[in-house]
Amino acid sequence: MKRSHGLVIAASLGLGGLYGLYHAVRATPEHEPDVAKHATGDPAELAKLRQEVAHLRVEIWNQRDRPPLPGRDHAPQDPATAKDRRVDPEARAESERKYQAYVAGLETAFRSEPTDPRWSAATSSVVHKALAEDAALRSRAREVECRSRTCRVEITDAGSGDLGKVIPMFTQRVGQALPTATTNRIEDRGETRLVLYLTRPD
Amino acid sequence: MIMISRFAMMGLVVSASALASLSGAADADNINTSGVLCQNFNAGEALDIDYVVNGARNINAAPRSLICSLPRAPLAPGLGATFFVDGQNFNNTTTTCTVFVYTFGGTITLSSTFTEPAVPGPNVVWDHNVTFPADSVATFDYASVLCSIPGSVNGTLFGVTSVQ
Repeated sequence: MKRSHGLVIAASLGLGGLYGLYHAVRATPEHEPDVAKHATGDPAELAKLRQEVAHLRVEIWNQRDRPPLPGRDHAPQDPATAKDRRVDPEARAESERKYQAYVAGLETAFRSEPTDPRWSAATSSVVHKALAEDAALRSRAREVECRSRTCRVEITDAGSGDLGKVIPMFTQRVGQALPTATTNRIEDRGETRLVLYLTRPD
Repeated sequence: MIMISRFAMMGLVVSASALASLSGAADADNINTSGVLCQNFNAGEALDIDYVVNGARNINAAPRSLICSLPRAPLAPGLGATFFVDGQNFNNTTTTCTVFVYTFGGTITLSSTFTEPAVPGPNVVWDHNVTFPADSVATFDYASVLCSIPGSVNGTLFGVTSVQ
């Protein structure tokens, strides 16, 4: 809503400004055909003046009245604004830093979490069962550790892209007991691993 | 000459400020997306998903997975993310959904799973909120939701909302 008002006001001011600019250019004697100066009665001169006026009319129509042509009348993009902000190294680094700080907080919290043997055993069993149900995950699960409210699961990422299919199904299978999952990707001895922090409801 | 310069300057200043205000950060609005945009998660189940004007449902007897995009506008970092998923279940069935957030580099970073309705019944319309904490969702992250809906037209996914 705020944005709509801002747009309307900005557009009105912009159009008003352009209209004022257009009238200033049009009304200034310096920019009108100087009839008195050229009114010599010379037919060649008059023809030249008429040609100039016609040319100006076309120019004005082009700038003011012509409907936009699809795909042709886009304003030229400023290379600076056309640049994908997502590949800005600083923005990327900042975004990555925030996420890593968030995940580091989870890792610290997990390491300091006390172990509830009963919950740990029961929930580990749920996780192992869910891993075993998927052939693609069975051989990739490296570590499963459950404490009192979080399970930490490491899965090898072979880079084949199939984790995008199997991880969602795995998180759904354990979702009843561990609804929230946070994932981190780590490199360990030349191997890429996904670390999942699966958390039970509060 | 002075007159035209003044007009020209005013026009340029006003136009520039108008353009600047257009290109600046703007407040975003919530984005509601109908469930008709959801699709079968598994390729071989395309014919099991049936669409109605208010969403998508499963005509196979077994449960099926639906995947839906959660359109969201890039937000200022540190705001977290909030979504709503809406649906309906019949005959004491339930629907389990997981909302996923992933980076523009394709890495899944967060997910949250829920099952609705909390108390199944003959005909239950539900509305579920999922919120991810601040700093867990980056400005340009994408989001999707994967739902397992019951068979025999016992569940309809109405749609999803990104709170912006």
